[in-house]
Amino acid sequence: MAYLEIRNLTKKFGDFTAVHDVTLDVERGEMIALLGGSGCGKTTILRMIAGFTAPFSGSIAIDGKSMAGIPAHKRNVGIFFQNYALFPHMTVFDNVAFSLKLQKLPREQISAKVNGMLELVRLTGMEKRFPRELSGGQQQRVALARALVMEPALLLLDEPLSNLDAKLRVEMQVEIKRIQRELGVTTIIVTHDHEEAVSLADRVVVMNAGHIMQIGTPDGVFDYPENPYVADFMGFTNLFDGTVAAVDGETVTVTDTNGNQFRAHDRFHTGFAAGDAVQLAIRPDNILPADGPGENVVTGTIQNVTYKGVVSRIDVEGVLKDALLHINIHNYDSGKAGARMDAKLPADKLLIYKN
Amino acid sequence: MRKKEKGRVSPLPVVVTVLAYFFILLPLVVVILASFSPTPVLKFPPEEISFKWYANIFSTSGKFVSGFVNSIVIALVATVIDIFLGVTACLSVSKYNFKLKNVLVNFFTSPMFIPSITFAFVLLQLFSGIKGMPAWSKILIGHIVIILPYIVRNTLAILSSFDWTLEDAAASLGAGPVTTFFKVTLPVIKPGVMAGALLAFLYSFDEAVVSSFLTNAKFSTLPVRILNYMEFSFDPTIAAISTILILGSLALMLIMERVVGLDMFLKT
Repeated sequence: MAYLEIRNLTKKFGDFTAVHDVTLDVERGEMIALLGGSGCGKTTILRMIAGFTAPFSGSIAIDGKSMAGIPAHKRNVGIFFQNYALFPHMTVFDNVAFSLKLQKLPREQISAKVNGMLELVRLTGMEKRFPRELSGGQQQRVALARALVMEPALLLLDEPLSNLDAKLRVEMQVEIKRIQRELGVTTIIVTHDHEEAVSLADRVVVMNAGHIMQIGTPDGVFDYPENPYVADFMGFTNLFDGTVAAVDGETVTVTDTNGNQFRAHDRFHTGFAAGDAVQLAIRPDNILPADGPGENVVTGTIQNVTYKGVVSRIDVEGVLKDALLHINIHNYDSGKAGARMDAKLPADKLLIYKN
Repeated sequence: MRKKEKGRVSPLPVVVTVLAYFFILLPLVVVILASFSPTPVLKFPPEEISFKWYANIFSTSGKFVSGFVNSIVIALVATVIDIFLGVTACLSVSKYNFKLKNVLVNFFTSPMFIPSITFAFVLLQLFSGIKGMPAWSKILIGHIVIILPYIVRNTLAILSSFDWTLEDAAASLGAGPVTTFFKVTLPVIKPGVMAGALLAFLYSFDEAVVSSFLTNAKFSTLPVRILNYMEFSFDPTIAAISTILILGSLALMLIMERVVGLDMFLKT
């Protein structure tokens, strides 16, 4: 039996179904990410686990104990809020000590626990400051310490890195992971950022319109999305239609709507037959420049080159029917615009989905 | 904070502001000067300083001291009751969405828009039908109604910027609804509530119309006593009382400034 068991969870707001029959198991000590765009139902699931809102149907159990009818303040679920929700009238110490004071612990014990936690989040010496006197990153650490000090049965993180600048994001990402490992607390992260999800979580749950689209390991979800929705969400910006021309074992030959022939690997063992309408997907980073014709090599005209820092994006015209083929390369050369280009879409990186 | 821009200030606004303050504050100066005048009729400039009108406050038949105590007690009790009523009412309309929400808000603040003489007349009619009601209870009820809008408006203003996730946070940390209210919500909205309470208190203390309709010989508030006194004698005793009240209000404002910050009054 899993530590956190979510069974057939459904939530409706009037006629709108925010969460649709979600079933999910989270193991003890695991860090799992609920990933999806706004309105996908991830925050609603978080609020149901926290006890802020009741499910329409289905059940939530933590450590074998059903949460039905248990109010939020009796669940022992620590929450990190997107806006931190620090108590503005309390010092850092009092913010962190809030839950311990409610438990009526002896003063020395509170003091010891709070100081220990502040040390863990590297905020020693800030005890007497008020939240408004702290930087965004420091406030975030206080929020994390406050949620963790009560030794919650479950830790919920709502968009933990979204309010930070790029440098601090990386730093906090490492911190959150370190602290979570150190305490071994079962954690659920809600985020819309796939990089945040894959870098923090042990498993990623991709959601859309209240449904779970895919559950998998970060690299599994990131590299091999199981359906076009997840592929699109994970940055497979090249998504195009085709028809199966021939099948040879797990190798599928597809003709796209522009007449290009591609070989693709039936990675998910979907089982294709000639004549099937399919969708093909490939990440811009997985397309390689090629010299002359060959298997899965296409030719087009470079429309423009955009410098994006680490990589440059090339938009190629004339390969796909009504879209540009996006390719990321590492060397930037703006002079290439207008030139012909051969590009290889490797068969093992080209994903194929039945329509 | 923005740095002050240097450069010439256009003279017209300065002149208008100075004149406005001059006309508002000049009468206060006259009142203060009159209170120290040795003669019942104010002479300017005053020839000597006398405290006899201050002594007169305590010695006349005007019963100013008991009126003052009554006013303070009525204002305090009405304000405390209204803090309770106003804050709970504001919480419900701010936190939850329901039909007729705006109607309810307008209802809470409606005493502000009804002429107090009309309201006083209605209360007089209503209470005349109830036998054995002491005057103090009539005045108290009247004041509870008319000062409520000041607390409601200020509390709603501060609640409009209140972050309700603080309540979720408190709950997740183990605080029940009552604990959450007293440890989190109330402390955060306190400046707004206090600002409203101060305005409400001063309004009640100052209120003459409703009180004079509902008063009787046994129980009366200071403004009513002053009105009654002025019917028969027009001497600077009133000026002496006014001077004390001006200084008292000033002191109260300074204390509030220290406690909650006066900028609360500027928020709407």
